Amino acid sequence: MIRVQSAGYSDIGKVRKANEDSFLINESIGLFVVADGMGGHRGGAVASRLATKTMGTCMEATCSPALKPDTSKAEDSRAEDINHLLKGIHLANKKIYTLSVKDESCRGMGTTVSALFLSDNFIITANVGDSPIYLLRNGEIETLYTPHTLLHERKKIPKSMEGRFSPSKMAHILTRAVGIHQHLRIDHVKTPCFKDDIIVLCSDGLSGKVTKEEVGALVVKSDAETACKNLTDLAIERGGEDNVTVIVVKILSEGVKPTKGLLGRLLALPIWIGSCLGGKRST
Amino acid sequence: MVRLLVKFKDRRIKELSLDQIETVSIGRNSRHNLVIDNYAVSENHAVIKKEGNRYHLKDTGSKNGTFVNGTPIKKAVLKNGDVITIGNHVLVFLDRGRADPFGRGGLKTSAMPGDPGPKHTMFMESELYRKMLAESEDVPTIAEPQAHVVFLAGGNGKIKLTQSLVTIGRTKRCDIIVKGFFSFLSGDPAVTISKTPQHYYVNSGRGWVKPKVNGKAVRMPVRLKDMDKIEICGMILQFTMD
Repeated sequence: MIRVQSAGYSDIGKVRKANEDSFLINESIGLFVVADGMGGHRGGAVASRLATKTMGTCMEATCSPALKPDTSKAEDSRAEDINHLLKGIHLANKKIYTLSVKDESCRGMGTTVSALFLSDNFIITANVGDSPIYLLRNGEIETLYTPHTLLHERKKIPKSMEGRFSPSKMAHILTRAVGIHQHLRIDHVKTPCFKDDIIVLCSDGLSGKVTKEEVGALVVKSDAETACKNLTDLAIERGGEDNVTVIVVKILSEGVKPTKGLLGRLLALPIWIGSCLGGKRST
Repeated sequence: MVRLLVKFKDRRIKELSLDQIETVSIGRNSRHNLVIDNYAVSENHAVIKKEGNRYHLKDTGSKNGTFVNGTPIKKAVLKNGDVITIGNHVLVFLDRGRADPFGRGGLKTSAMPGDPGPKHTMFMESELYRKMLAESEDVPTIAEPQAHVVFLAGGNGKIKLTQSLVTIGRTKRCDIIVKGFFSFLSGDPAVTISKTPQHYYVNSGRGWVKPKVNGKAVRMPVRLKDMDKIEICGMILQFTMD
């Protein structure tokens, strides 16, 4: 199991009357989710809460450590881990959609979902919408999500639609969201995880105010909890028009595989001698 | 100006102007106005007719059906942006010069009726988005980086880095095996090359000897740049972006 230090923080901001963001941290199964809700006069908050809650319950049921049969994992079971995560998001989508159809006050609600799932030395992320996921590794930052906004998919816009939206508007128009439609397409990333990696999940209330380089510089300096607080404060200082939510996850140590001791080394000697004699070929 | 775009696998293959035309018959038979020579298309598949000020699409007894925006139809009135599917081909009906080019309502937001304001996130109705994509061409996809390593010493050939994790070490369990006299000093694995959506990283595994990148020992994951040299126990690999 990967050991982590994590913290999350959510702030209503200075302008909005309600906090439509929500987040989930479950260190025991290694699940971290940020959801940024929208729609209706109370729908946004309902959608994001429902998304995080559903994913938490669903993943807890399928991935709790006690239920995990074996830790010696192959590539195919990692694919399974991705499926657990995607299943959770699909279930959330179904629940939100059903409720939005049933309940008048929630009509048309939806939410973004950005999720991180740590499993067997792998970082698995999945996202729908525009909530960023950053990976900070050895001083360099990169993104682990696909923004589903018109701005990002601008190249796909035909001539007839050009000039219809200003660039700043295009950054706020989502092309996908959880709970809007019965069907959902989710983008995901799977990549090996290393000690000292830091993963930051946030809502666009933060990413709109603080550049990813600034995020990187801030999270390295302090522990997860202080970093969350500092990031939120900075976003609010710079306007805070939107809700601000952030989760910081620091990888303290990778999942330790059983290391071969001296005996193992000695047993490997004949193989080594064999390889010296040129008996083996690399592929 | 009324146009009909004919697309196949996201590529525009033909464009018809319907301004001067009253009837467009569609089918595999060569006597039609629009001939689509594909076995998924029937001899006589469908017809588009101008009646008054509107264009009507009618299925003329096709075997595989005619679809408008994903719904099978026998007869339908075409609106601007409608996507007609015939076999594996897609026809996009474009009717410019009329008010409200995207039909009723235009952009709908799920947030509230009308635009919730410039700073608010809103959702673009998937129907509209689908039409938009149908009209656009050659959707560019961002290619994931592709890279490989070439042996400079300790082996031959090149190895493509397609897996999310490639291991280098002294045992058969590793993807690339270190050979030679000092190989027992390397770990199992000694080096890992991992892939993220945009980059590759090299990191040291277990073992008594740390790998080097461009002569510098690797202690933390190091982001690989084109032409970087990875060295472990006499084996040298060069990292190359495709």
